[in-house]
Amino acid sequence: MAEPTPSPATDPPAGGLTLSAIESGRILIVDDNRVNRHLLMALLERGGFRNVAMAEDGREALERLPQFNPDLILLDLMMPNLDGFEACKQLRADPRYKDLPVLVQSSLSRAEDRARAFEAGATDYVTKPINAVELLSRVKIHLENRALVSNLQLYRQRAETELTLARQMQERLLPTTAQAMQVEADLGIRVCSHFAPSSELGGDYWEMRPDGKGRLVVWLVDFSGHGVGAALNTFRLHAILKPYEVEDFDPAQFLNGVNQRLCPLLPIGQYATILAGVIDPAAGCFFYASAGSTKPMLWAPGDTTPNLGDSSGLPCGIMAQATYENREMAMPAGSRLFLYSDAAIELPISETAVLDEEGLTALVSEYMAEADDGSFLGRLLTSLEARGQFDDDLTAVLISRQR
Amino acid sequence: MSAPPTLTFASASTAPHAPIHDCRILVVDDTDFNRTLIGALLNEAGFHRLCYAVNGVEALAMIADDKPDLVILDIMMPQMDGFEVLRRLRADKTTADLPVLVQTALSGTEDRNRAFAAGTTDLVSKPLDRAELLARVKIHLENRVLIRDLQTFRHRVESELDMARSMYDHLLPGASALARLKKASGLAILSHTLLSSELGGDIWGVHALPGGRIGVYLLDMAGRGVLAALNAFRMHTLIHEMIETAGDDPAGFLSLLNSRAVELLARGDHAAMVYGVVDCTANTFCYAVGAAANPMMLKGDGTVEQAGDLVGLPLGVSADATYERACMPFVRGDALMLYSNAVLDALDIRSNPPGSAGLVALVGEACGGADPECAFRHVTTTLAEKVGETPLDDHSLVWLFHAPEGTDG
Repeated sequence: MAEPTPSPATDPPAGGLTLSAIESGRILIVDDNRVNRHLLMALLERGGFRNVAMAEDGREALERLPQFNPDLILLDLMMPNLDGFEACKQLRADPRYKDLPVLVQSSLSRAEDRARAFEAGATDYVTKPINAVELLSRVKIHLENRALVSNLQLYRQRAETELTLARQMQERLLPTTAQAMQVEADLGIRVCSHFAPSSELGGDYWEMRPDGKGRLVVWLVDFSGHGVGAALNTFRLHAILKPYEVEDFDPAQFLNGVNQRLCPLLPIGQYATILAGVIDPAAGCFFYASAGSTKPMLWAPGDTTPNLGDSSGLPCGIMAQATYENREMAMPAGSRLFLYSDAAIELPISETAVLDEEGLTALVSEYMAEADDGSFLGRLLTSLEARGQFDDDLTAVLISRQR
Repeated sequence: MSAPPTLTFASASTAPHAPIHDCRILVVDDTDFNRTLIGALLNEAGFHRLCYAVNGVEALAMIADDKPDLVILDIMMPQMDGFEVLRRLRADKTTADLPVLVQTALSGTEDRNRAFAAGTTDLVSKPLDRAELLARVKIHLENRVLIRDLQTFRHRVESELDMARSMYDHLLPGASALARLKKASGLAILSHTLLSSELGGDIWGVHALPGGRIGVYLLDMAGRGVLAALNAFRMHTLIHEMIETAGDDPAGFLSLLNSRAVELLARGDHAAMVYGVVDCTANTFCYAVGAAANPMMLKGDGTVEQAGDLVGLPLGVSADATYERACMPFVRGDALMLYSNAVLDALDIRSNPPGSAGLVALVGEACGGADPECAFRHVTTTLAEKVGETPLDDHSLVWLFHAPEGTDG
């Protein structure tokens, strides 16, 4: 269905040249000498260039820029009204012409003049008398280069626009700050999180839902791969889970169902690791089941290291017959539960090593005395980022019982 | 009172920027003095990754070993001169775009022309002028870095989209699914999908229902590209989940899908969809539409019929939307034709002449109307001619052929 949205396919090329259209490049000749102007014009026409315009001095050249919109300027230096040095400087100050090739053609041949021209922002410099072969070669090189750059820039601009919108769509799958505040007010459970796909889109997705009986249901999903493809899978699972009833939530049963529904949808080789659980303040417990997720880390006030929960289980989407088991960890008042995608333990910290579970446990131990949840997460992430560059999507969720 | 909980989203990553001072520059000159001088000038200007070759042969070996970002090349050298080095670099596609600055005398017109003919990127004058050398090195390296960053971005996005495209292709019925369908029901299907970019929002599918009936749908998500694809994957998931149990009643199925779509889709996002059920025993086709084109039936005698002119709201707009059902005979020898709206627009047969008459005229042009496969080919060929290689919108058509008597198996 066609909609007037920005699309790679429909926008006109924004002043860009295609590689096959170098000769249709727009060239502005700036020279105060009429004979020189016509000489250059004839030379360019002989070289096949058809879109050539002329200006008599720097001032006229600047005036003509917006309308003629050249792809290259052939600029003389010594001119009345506004000379070439000044014209070049003024033009470079305008972001529209920051990358416009300016080829200076001048009878000034001293090194100082050349240096001054480059300082003023010239891209290139040829001396008069003009050598026809050289001038045409240089014009062609600059136009080809400009065409290549503007094609690539156009691609990036369109892709970024599209992917930014897609990224916003993906963020809308996740819990909002308003939801987190509601959960804290109603259940006394505080949730802080960090979501960072390794490119614009990613394969991580998590949710939290109060069950209406004082408990909080949470699931954290990490699809294999990253980028647009992995994101498509997060949208699929979100569509499946949108109407899911969390009353009397049974984590293992939840995973059984998700697995059976993902199996026919996912292509071979794609899967999701999932941790699903429910925080039950009345029972002082975290009940959960895992489909090959990372190990949940949980610690109570006074602990010096986190307890790591068992997280064995087959990832979802591989085998429809897989079944999952319920597990539990004690979670008394004041406890904190840390959930994370595997990017946190597969963070490359050298050519050959990753941070691993032990490394992450050590870091968590180091910061767990931090009373403020946001600061704990912030310091942990800063510390992770200082150790290496993530090459996978990272989600980190800290859930703490306030009462 | 503590601060509100923090839910943060990291900003999307950007391509790493390699400053030009980290670029590798190869200086090729047989004169010790020149190499030292150029090296010193570059070093003083902040370039610290410099390497040197004393002749053309050595230069080519070093470039083959580890490609620099820029070469400063002397012309007159023993063993192999600069022109030959340049020619060989340009002939090799891995170095065809390597920036090369050739050193020539300002007055050496013939050398300058030869250098350009051999493919130099630029010249630097000899004797060396510091400001000019540095200005030209800077211009070409900045350009190099810019292009490299842009290319890295493009390759990364293209590979992500390729991967996503293969997932999109996986959504649509494959050859083996269609072969199974044909064996079980005698229905043959031809489809044609033309997307406006790497990904799109048009999907279609068939599903075996209880009692030997076949459910078939064509869905056209609003918008294009990645955004439309994300929503199309959601809709496909819903269809996949519900068609088995709710697929027998076309109008009811659309209502059900619509109610789920309203919960999932953002304001402004919606889908046009046609869904129908083929009953090969009763020889009927019953369908419902939500803002999609009504299917048409190409009869064995070359005429085209349309069961109704149903409208219906697009899916995802209003939870209160209701849908109607229409039925038409679908007998052996008939071809049932489903289209996305864009196809009708592209072929200009929605209005001129309207609907089925326009299609009859189009099909009649090529095939005399009697051969449905010929008609399909003619329609897709005409479509390709009208919209070109990069259409403005996604286009899909799906035709189901009810095999004529005695042609089964």
